[in-house]
Amino acid sequence: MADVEFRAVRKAFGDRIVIPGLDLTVHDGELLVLLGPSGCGKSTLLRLLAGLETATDGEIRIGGRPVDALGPRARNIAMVFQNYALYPNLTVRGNLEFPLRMRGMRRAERKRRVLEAARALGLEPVLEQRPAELSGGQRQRVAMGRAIVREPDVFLMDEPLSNLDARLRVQIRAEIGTLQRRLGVTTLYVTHDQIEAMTLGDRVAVMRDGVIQQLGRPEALYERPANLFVAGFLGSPPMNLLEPALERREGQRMMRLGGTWGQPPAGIPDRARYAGIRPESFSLGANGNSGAARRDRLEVQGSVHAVEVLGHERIVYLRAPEPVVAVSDGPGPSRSVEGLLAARLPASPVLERDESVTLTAPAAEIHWFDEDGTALSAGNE
Amino acid sequence: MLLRAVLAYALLLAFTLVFIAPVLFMIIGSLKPDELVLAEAGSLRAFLPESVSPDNYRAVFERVPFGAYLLSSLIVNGLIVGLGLLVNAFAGYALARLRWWGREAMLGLVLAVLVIPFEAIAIPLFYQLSWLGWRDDWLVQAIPFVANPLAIFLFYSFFLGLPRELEEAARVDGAGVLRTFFLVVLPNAKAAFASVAIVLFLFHWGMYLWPLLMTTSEGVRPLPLGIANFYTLPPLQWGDIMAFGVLMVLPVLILFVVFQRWFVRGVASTGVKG
Repeated sequence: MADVEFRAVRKAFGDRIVIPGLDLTVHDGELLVLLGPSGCGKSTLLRLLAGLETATDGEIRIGGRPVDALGPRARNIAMVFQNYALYPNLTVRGNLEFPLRMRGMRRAERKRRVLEAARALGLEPVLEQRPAELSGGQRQRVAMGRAIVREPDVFLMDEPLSNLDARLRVQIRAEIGTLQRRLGVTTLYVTHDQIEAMTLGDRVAVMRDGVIQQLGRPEALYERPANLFVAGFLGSPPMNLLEPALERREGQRMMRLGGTWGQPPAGIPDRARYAGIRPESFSLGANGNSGAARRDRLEVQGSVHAVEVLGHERIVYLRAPEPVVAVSDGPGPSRSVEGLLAARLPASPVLERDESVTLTAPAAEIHWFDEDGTALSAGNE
Repeated sequence: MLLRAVLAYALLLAFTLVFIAPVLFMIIGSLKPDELVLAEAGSLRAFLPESVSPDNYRAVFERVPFGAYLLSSLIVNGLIVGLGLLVNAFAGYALARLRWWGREAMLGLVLAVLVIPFEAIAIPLFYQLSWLGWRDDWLVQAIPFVANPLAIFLFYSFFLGLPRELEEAARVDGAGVLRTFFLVVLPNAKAAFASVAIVLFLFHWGMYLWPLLMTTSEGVRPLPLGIANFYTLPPLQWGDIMAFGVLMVLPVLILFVVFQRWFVRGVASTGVKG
């Protein structure tokens, strides 16, 4: 068991800087998820820790010991790869045994550990089969098994569920969580799937362009995103982002949000530039009662563009009365002129396409962001 | 539609006959009495084995030390293929996977050497080895051909196609470069090894110029020199020469049939599925 520290770690491939300088501590026994879009540097960070890449600058420590000069072998880490990387020429037993053989472990001890891991993962019946004969879920378990037999200081998992179908993903996700808690091994888990991140992580680090945008407990990230990127990345559908207009009229602050001018809701900061509303913050309001004038609620009027029926609830997309800001992967928010507002509503009453509706959300649930996209009340650690 | 198919097959059949005719002529000629081989050469009867007899084969073994030629050829080719697989696989792997200074330049050099015909360097090589006093044995016929740019290139492209994660997993699991190569890469590259083995064997089985330059003793001379020698040995017996030819082609055919499955796979595929 060990904690992991990245100290001012920088990584460049030639002229391309992937990680401009990163500090991160993963506590002993913790499962930390690195979450971000592809190309954000999360896998590179994992590979730096594994010793498969060398940092351009900075220091990495495992259990307080600097490991930058050590090869992968000496770091005592185990890694689960996205495509499992099982040795096709070896049986399941051979695959599980491989890391133990490489460490010169005695035969009896190897056998004991392989059996133990196989039993824990339900692999006993397939021990003598080759990877090609296994199902996707079994292969994933073998990859996990190969990681746990070693009893390493740190587990690294690089999108380990992305090759599985949706149903199996949910099942194995739960298994990974249980296993990690039982073994208590420090784990770095890379994914671009926010549900994996939210369900598995003790803490989640949201990354973009090699920079950690926010680090914290999953619920904190969801409830108090630090910036527009995190706000837009977490949640499905993501947070609705609006760009209200603020003016002073006859000595009074007036704001246009949700289509009409009115008094701004209470507690809106001066520097507020973007307003974010989670789809579940909306509820169906009474028609003809529109306007942002009420200080305790926001009201938006529009027509229904589409409805996604999910059984117990519906996602309703509303044609927005003003531009909805979409968060791009590039720097800064980009504008989507024909943006739609998403609302998570109960299954009834039934709404038809093009029907005119009013959505309302409590002012207290609106997230405010400044010009740079930084939250005006963020939930960092 | 049917007519087109018939025409296509007729054309294919004609081409096949053109290419297979000399081989058939040789095989059937080797079973005929000597005087009939040339006498029937201009007619279709050349392809009909009327009187089958192993006499010509017996004559080959009686008139020349065929066994010695065969042994020399097998040893020299065995050395070339055996050492060649190891050396060229190492080189291909180093070019495909390891990071070292001058790698790109070396790859360029390997590709450049690919187009130089052996005949162009035969004489300088001959002088070089003569100066070292190294001549007239099996090793000298094999060693200059162990490193082969085509084989290196075949290995290089095959290794490029292997999933990199396999090797990375081995490294994380604690294997060094050599153990990764022997325990993970090699067992998953059987197709490449089979292809290269066949390519090297085919290239060198019929090698004539180099053994001619480097050998003087009958005991170390390979089959191509043997058959050349056989031509000049009076009386000129065409049936015997055909039999010698068949005996010479046989090992290549056997090798190809045995390894054909891997050879085709090796040429067709560049990767291994996990």
